[in-house]
Amino acid sequence: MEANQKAEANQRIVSKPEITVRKMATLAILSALSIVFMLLIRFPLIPAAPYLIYEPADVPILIGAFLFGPLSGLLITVVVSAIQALMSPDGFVGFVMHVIATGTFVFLAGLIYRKIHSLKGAIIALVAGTLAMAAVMIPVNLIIQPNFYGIPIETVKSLLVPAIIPFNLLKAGLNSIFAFIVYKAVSKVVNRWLE
Amino acid sequence: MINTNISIGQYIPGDSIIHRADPRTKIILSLAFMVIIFMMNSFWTVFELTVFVLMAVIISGVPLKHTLKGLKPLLLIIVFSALLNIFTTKGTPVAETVPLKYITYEGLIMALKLSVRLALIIISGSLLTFTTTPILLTDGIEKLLNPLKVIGVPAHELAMMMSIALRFIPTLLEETDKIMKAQAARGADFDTGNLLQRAKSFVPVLVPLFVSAFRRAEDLATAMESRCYRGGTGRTRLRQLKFTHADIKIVLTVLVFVAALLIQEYMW
Repeated sequence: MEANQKAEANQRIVSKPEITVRKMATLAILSALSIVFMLLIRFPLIPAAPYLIYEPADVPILIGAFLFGPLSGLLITVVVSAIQALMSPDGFVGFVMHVIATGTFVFLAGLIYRKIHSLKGAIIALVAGTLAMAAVMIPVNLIIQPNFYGIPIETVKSLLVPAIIPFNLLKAGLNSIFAFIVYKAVSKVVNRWLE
Repeated sequence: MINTNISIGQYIPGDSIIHRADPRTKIILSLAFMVIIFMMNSFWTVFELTVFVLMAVIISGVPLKHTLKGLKPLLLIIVFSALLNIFTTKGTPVAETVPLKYITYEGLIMALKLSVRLALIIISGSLLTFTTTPILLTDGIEKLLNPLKVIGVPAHELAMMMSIALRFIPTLLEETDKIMKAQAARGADFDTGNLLQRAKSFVPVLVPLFVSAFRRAEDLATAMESRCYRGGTGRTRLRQLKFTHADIKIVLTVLVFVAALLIQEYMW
């Protein structure tokens, strides 16, 4: 019994965990930063539609995806969405919408940037991510709005072109610009630490 | 400038049977309840659900006022959707006169049913966060996700990251506040100007904030490593989650109630 435990303990020391402590701590702090942005920095993008609020919450997640890859970006997205679900009354539906929207954005961006690891790659990644997110949100809105909030599907359809699509493009675009500027500034410092 | 005293999670201390139940029970039941609420369409079943949810709120000892406050952010969308349904559902008009001609009985019932259902989903969901501390919730989520490890879901890491993030949100709020004040003292202006100017004004906040966040992560990782943290396997816990009588009572009550609802909805 005791020998067994010892062997197990040795095994643990020998086999390196898949997610290192350093990486996990960094991803967790980035998640916290995303929630902080959600709470502190928010303003309406389109004056005509004040209920569509912009928040730079995706910026830390994008940075995480650029530093650690698409799967890590997805991991932060899930953590942030789960905490948000605990804090706001949207609950599970909000969680699902957030995971789909942000998840698409950061996964694609992270994937492309990993393949083309250059300034050009970063720009392509962010543009592709922005477009993919705006595209994915069309069917998501058409499914969730009528079924959860009871807004007739015709109304959602009529809002797509004047409000929903431009809002998502603008929001993701702005997040991309922020992420680009911040990543450029911090990546040198951070990459040195993470070695 | 910023209220850094934002409480994360909405836990309200108490000693009700709902507080004492295992977080796993509560998470599964609140998810199941969401599905059940969507399945209910007749007037009576929605009414009975309302009574049941309100009774659960009363038993939990969470002030009703507090529960209803959770509806506030979604009030706009509830009203919007109710109005749309009142005016767009086809059926028998309420009266022949002009303003009432456009309103149908079917529309009114549809609007009422949808708003009540949405409100119930929100209330039953917030009952979970009202009666469970964030730490217990993350423990519960980890335990529930454990079986998914087989397909590669990092259950322990997810829960650990959630706990760390919850712990660091107040710290980083304070940090952001400090940096914003420091930049304001240097003449930064966050509240005026057009969209582009406002966006630009945040860059001098974001960069130092990120650098300081990475430094915190570095310190935290060192602290965890020096305490021999090496992942979830083999880790022991101070507080063990345990199913108790409270869980059995709650699960049985909900099961009986849901069975009665389903019979009423689909077999009558």
